[in-house]
Order: sequence, then C-alpha cells, then structure tokens
Amino acid sequence: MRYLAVHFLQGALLFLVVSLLSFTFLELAPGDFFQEMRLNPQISPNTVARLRAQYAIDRPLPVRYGHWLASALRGDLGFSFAYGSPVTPLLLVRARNTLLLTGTATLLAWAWALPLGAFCAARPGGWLDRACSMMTTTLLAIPELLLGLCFLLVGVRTGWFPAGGMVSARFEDFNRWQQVTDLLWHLVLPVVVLVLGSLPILLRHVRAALLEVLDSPFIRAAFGHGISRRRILFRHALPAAINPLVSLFGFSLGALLSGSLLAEVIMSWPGLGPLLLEAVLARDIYVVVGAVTFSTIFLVAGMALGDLLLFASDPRIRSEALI
Amino acid sequence: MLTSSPKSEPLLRIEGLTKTYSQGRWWEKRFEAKALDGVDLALQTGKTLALVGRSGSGKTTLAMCVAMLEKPDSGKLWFDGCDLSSLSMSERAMLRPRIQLVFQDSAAALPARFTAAEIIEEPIVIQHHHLGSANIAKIKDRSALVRELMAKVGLPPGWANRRPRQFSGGERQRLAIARALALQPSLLILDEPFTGLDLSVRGQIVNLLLALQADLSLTYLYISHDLDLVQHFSDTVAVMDRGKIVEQASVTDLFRSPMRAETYPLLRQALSACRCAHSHG
Repeated sequence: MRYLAVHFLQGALLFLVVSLLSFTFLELAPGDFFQEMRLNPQISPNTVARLRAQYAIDRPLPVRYGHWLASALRGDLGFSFAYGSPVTPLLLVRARNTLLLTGTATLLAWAWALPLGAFCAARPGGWLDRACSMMTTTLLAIPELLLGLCFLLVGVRTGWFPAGGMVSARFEDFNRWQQVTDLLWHLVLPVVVLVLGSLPILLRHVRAALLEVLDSPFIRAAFGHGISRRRILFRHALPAAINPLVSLFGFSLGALLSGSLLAEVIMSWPGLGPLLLEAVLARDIYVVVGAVTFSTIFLVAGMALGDLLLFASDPRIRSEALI
Repeated sequence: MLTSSPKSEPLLRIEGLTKTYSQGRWWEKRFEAKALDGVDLALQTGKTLALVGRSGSGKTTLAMCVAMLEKPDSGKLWFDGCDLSSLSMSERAMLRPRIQLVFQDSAAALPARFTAAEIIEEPIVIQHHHLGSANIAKIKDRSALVRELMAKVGLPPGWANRRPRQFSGGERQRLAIARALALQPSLLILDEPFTGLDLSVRGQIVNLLLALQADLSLTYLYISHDLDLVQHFSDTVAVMDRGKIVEQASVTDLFRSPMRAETYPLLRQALSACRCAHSHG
C-alpha cells in the first residue's frame, strides 16, 4: 500500500510539473491561436479581443493554469479552438487509435526480441548473432523518418499496402470480417516501421542481459545435470535475466502513447501524434497540454506497472519489501 | 558404447589430457594458456582423490573436462570403462547423471528464483530417473524424494519452499549436495566446496560427505588448494602445477615425504594453518 501511495504521489507531482511546463512553454512561444485572425483586415481587433476574452486567453497564466487544473481533475481537459469541441473526447479517440498501433507493434517487437536475443546470447559470435548484430546496427543507423518514407514508397509503388490512413474509404460498407481485415491491412506498414525502430534496442538488451547470466555458475551446474540448452535458456537463464527486461517492458508500456508520433505523421495514421503536431503548429493550447499530460499519465502508469511486474516476478524483491 | 568396467578397473582414468585456451580475434596476436598439459590420473571406486595445487594450476579445468563441460583438445578420458571422447551426444547425456558437480560458490551455483524443492527435482524431471519401483515422473513421488534427500543432507524437509538466499552458506552447500545426489551419481566432483565456510560448518559438511560416501558408495574427486583439509578427507592426493600432475601419492606418504618441490609450499601453508589453529585452540 505504501509503495502504491508513494508512486501515486510521484505521479501526481509529475503530472503537475509537466502540465505547468507545457503551459509555460506554450505561453513563452510567440503568438496564439488567434494570431492569424489579426492579420485578416476583415476581422476587427475588437472581435479578436472578444474571442480571446471568451476563451480566457487574455487572463494571466497562473489563473488560466489554475482553472485548467481544476477542470482537469474533473476529467475535463479544456476546449479545442481548432476543432471547436472539448479536448477529452478528441484525445480519447486518437489515443485509442495510437494504442491499437503501438500496442500491436510493442507486442510484436517483444515477441521477436526475446527469442532472437536469447538465441544470439546462447551462441555469441555464431551466424545468427552476427546477422542480428549487423541488422540491429543498420536499423539503428537509419532514422525512423527515412524508414517510414521507404516503406511508404514501397506501399505506394507496389500497391500491396495502403499508402496511409487507418481504414479504407468504404469501411462503413464492409461486413465485420472485411472491416477487421481492412484495419489489419492498414496496420501492416506503420507496425513494421515501429517494430523495426524498437527491435534493435530490445534485442540488444535481451542479449546483454542473458550473456551476463549465461556465464553464471548455476548455468554450468544446469549443463552438468544434463538439462538441455533450450530449457536452460528459457527456464533458468531468462528468468534470472528478466529484471532489467521487465523494467524496459514497463518503459515500453509507458511510451505507448508518445513513441509513435513520427510514424503516425508519415503514415497518416489518425493517432495522437498528428493531433499533437497540428495543435502545436496552431497553438491550440489545451489540446497540446491535454495530449502531453495524457502521455505523462500513461508513462507514469507504465513505469508503475513495470515495477509491479518486477515485484510479482522476483521473489527476492517481494521478501525484501515485506521486511 | 556404454558398458561398465570390471570392479578392478579404476572408475575414472585419464591419459595424456591436454586443454589450451586461446584468446584474440583472427587479426590479432593470439594469447594461449595451456590449462592441461598431458594429465594422467586414476581414481578407484569408493575412494577420494584430492587434486591440489596453486591457483591457475588447471584443477578446475580438469574437473570441467571430467564433468564433460569442457572438451579436451587431446588425450583420453575413461569413465567406468567408457571412452568419453568416443560417445555420441545421446550417450553422453545418459552418462551425465553419474558424474555430478558441487561448486565452490553455492550462492552462485544455485538458481536464485527456484525453491529448494525445484532445485533438487529439476535434474530428476529432466532425466526421468527411476528409483527402484517408484516412477519419478509423478509429482508426489518427486516430492517424497526431495524430502528424503533434504533429510539425508541434514536439511529440514519443511524448508523445501525456501529459496537459496534464505539458507546460510553451509545450508546452501548441503542443498547443492542434495541436488547432486538426486541423480544417484557414481562420481562427485567437489570443486573447493568448503570455501567461505567457518571451521565448524566445514567439519559438518566433511562429516556429511564421509557419511554419504560410506552409505552410497560414492567416489569423490576433491579439488582444493588447502592441504590441511585434504589430509582429513582424502585417500590419495595428486599435486598439479602448470597443467601437469607433478606428484601423486597416498595422503600419509605425501605429508611424510613429498618428492617434488612444487608440493613444499602447499605443505608449508597447511602446516602453518595447523599451528595457527593449535595456538588459538
């Protein structure tokens, strides 16, 4: 309980700091949402001033932040000037789309990283290890932007995959099975980009964690008992090496909302990324602050979940915590 | 092919064993360390042979070769009449239960996340070993065997659900011995098993090993750099230096009249430890 309370307080503090900083940075940035209206001679300065007063942009920062915080605690993250609608439902829809994309990519990346990293660690310097090393080095060197554009080009040139978007234009006319396959078809390219972006780091971490454990005396003892290499790898070595990987997994969960901005923009995936980008460019302040704090909450929750998984998976940590 | 040797044959026989470790990539100058340089050894069934020498003399490498955890570069290794170098992988797997290791650092040699019961029964699960008429694949039979082994090594069977860090150093070593016994080995390789244990616990473990040897007809290959303990625990001693066996004799003969200069520093160390113990005793 104490652990949860401490984490909750830390999360609340982080939420306050991040939201305040977001407000402050946007305030310090030149201009606001109604800046362009002033340039239009057909709109009088009085109209602009009235709009600014209506949306409370003319009030001092601490007052605006205080009002926003009070409503945020009630679940209302403000109003979007660009979309003319409350921010919360807008963010929820986009966050759902982002989670679909990043959740799929994260699961696939880990599903590949764990066995590949384990087999590479089992035979360091072997053909698989060398091939993976070359692959990860190449992927790390290629910027995600370039990767995304390459795959987009492949999609456009071949026509095998859609060149952006989440669903086809005639999505509403499809039956349930066609809708599912259409969605999956649109998911392929952005998921591949995200997986290729995160796989090198995960694979290297898994390999490094296992290499350290595979040198341990208890692994030698297990070999001496005639336990097979595969069983040693997955039943003995991987559980012993799991702690840093669980923490990394928690971080992956925390980055679910914030890690895919570039891929979403390139692939025109209607997630939180493009929304945030548009809001920043348009100075749609409450959308920006809302999206950033949403991601922060997710990050804190993901890290807390990682800690809880660590607590659940390692009996040593459990027994220390109970002392 | 796996066949048993006649009773008069040694259980373990080594001839001309060599092992060299080399480091360095193909474009660099390679550094080579000769760990074993023509080792000859024989160990009779039911006896204890102590392998002593300075650090880096090749004792642990020899142990790893005997346990089939390292492949020697050349030489012959016979275990119970079988030439280990000529065995296929499946034949080697069948032979592994008969040669077991007890490591120096019990904390590092036992998987930290497993309970004592899981540690002991893991080898049994793998080998699907049958004891008498009992089918060890059944869970309740495995639990009974775990309790029996724990009691045999002096651990309360009620501690079966504890993890290694919840045991003391001596208790962990007992657990390691119980794990080694689970597969009913013929040869137990004890790689400095008393390191880090205080005198009284050391004495308890020595007595336990002697009792087990008498009860189960075990053969021990005992690796140590401490001649003081060797004389209480072994029948014969082989002194290693720079990868070779330089002297081999009974414990009495070695202590009375060592033949080689390499043995003297080890004896001196053992005698001064003995004097120290008496003066404080």
